[in-house]
Amino acid sequence: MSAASEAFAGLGHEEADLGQLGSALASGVLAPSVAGAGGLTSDLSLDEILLLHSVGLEPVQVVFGVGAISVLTGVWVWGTGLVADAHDAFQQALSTAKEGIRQQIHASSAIGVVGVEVEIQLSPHRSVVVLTGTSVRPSRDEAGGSHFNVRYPSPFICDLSARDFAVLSTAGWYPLDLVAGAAYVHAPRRGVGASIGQAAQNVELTNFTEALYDAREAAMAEMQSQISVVGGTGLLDAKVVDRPVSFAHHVVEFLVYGTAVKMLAPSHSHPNLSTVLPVDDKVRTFEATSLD
Amino acid sequence: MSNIPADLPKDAAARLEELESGMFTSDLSVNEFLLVKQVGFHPLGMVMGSSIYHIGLQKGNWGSSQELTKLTAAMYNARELAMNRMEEEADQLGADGVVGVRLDVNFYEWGHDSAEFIAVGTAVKAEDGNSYRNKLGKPFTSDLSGQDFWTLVQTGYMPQALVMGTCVYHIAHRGLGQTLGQVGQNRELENFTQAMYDARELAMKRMQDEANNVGASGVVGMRLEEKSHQWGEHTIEFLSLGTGVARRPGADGVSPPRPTTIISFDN
Amino acid sequence: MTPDTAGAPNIFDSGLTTPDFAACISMNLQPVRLVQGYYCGQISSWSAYSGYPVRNYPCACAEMDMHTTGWVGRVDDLDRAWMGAHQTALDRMLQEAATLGAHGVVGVTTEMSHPTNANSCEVHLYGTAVLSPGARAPQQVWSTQLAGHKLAKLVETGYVPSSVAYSRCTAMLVEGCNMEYYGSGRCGTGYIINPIQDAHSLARSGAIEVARQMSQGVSLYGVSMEVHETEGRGTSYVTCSLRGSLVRRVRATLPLGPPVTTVSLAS
Repeated sequence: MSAASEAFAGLGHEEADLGQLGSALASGVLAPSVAGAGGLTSDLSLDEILLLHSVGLEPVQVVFGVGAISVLTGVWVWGTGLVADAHDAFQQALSTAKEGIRQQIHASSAIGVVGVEVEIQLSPHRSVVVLTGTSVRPSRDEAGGSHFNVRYPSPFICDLSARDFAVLSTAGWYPLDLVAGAAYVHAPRRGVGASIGQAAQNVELTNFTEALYDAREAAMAEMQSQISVVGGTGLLDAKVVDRPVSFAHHVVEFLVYGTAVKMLAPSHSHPNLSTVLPVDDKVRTFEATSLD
Repeated sequence: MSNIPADLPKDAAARLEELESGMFTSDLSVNEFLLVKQVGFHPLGMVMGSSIYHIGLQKGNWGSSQELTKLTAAMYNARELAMNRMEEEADQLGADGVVGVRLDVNFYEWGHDSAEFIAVGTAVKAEDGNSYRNKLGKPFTSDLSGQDFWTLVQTGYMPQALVMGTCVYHIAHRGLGQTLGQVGQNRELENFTQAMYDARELAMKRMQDEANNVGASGVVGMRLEEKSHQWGEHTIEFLSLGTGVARRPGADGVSPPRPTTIISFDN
Repeated sequence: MTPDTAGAPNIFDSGLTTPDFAACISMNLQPVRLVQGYYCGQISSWSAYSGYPVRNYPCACAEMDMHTTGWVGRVDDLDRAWMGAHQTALDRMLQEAATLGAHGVVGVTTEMSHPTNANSCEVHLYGTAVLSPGARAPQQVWSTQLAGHKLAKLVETGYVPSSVAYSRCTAMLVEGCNMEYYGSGRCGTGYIINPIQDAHSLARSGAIEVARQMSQGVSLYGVSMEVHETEGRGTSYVTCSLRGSLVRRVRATLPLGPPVTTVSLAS
């Protein structure tokens, strides 16, 4: 840890003192705030930055994309089948947001974005999607080269964390794009009583099952076709949103999204695993509560 | 794909057909994916089953504790329907098993005493070409996470089936006189104790029977959930869930790895 | 605002956990004592309305009765007030550390709130002042949210901490008939609602831009971004705030070896 203590001993002085600090640091190569490193922002934790460096990438800056698309008045009135307008608006909002984040990735000369947080807001008249993440680019080593060898034809967007990106890439897999499927479906209107006649019976409501099951399958099929479009061979960490629409309870919202991945290495490489048993459980400290 | 079970919706058939081309979808995390690969399985796709089920009315007798058999049957049958459909989807994909199964129940406002039962998981297939299906010839199912699945395989065991037992029980209300007579006393409420005890025993017994049927030699990760759903506080569903496991043939020499003890500096 | 420095010089107090303390000692950083900076102030209530347009949205339609122009713009009075409050509190904390002869402040925690109502602001920063025995007195005390081994890792990999940072930007959206037309769904599905997209973008890019200006030659890492929306009649606000640590790279990054992959057997 002597390098660290030397570094701290020199901290807090003008740039001129950096030479002195640099010489104190064991490995030497000094640049007062390495070229191009200025003004970067990143919402990654230090661990994630270190892991990215270990696979040859470095963060560039926080990037985002916003899509806000109108939804025709009246589509939420109780009807039958899928609410196509809500679905179309969501997909358009997502692609608008993706387009926005891609432009920012281009502008910051990055190759993609990791740790994308997906915010989805639905209101009666609009569907809003906001994507926020950190763009990354290959880091240069001392010789000016980089050991990140994957060439992306277009910027990748991935909602996997930087940590997941690093772990996945060491196994030979790389993320391509954020893909999503959506379905908004009206519950069948026919009353339950009418369909079964007797309230005391245990019976499957097949028309209900069919309507909702179909909608879920449609959303998953849509996500799958997007994976094919972006050239992926798989999708990991699918997030499933499944809830009644807050302002129209008879409509069930079903969203499924995640990052399409593809194996770019010749074969899957298995990590060398060892099992560990953490022995650092939180120590219970003294607790006192009043007895009155 | 002509042999798709009539039980599955038509969209499912088309979606599964696409998955057979080699693309996969999965809700496994990156770590889980790598661990599942590590023990020789490859994900095939997300599979699910759904059933919306009308739960018949059955009122408990106000003063007595008893099982509400009609409600028990509804909760059990509906889950079975959802699970079976999920297994059918996995079967269509030629899967050896389904990992990370989640069973959810949704009650909707428009539902009128009905609920949606959903089973979702990731279908996997062994890369060594051997079959790991269970005794009933069905893909194994398990609610173990990727990490737990990896650890289980290290011990020489394989999951056989997600097993469950349920029991909907009505717990008797206490009479007014009874309540008044006992004010100021510390004592066990024997009828309550007995009712809760019986209900849990029934749920666990049913789960064990299921485990026996699939040839499991034990159940891991068993847990007992107690929920009142929409029935008020005196009617409780006791759901016992776990993964039935059996020793893998030819796993005699296998012994689980000894962990290194570590202390991490994570906060 | 003037700390009592007359205490016993050999006794330190710190907010460090034992592992963090151990890491500080191994880095030759001696904890001195807890230091804090506090600022409580009033925000002018009308300042929220003094925005200026960045983009206008003329009426998109001929059919509307009223032709009003909406706009999206910045309202920076509030942002300046909050950032000023943060800077003052930070300066006070660093001043306190400097008085103690410390070189830096580690493990800085930031708390911000409205103590009485929306027109007041309160910022409290606190952390542990540390000094490097033997090093000469600094011209500027550094500060960071990190402590312990995370800080050690930061330095090992070629960065040094500079300062904790806070930036904020509020975008104001004044609805015109463009918004009323597309945004109310009257027109149909699939129209891009530019004012909303622009308001969200402006708040975020504004906060990032302010942070960039603040961090000349240094990087802002570990950013947490908070976005807050308030909708009123015809006027909405989107506020984005960023918090993080400014760090400076003083060496080319040494590639980290591949991490050791483990599976934890603790549940």
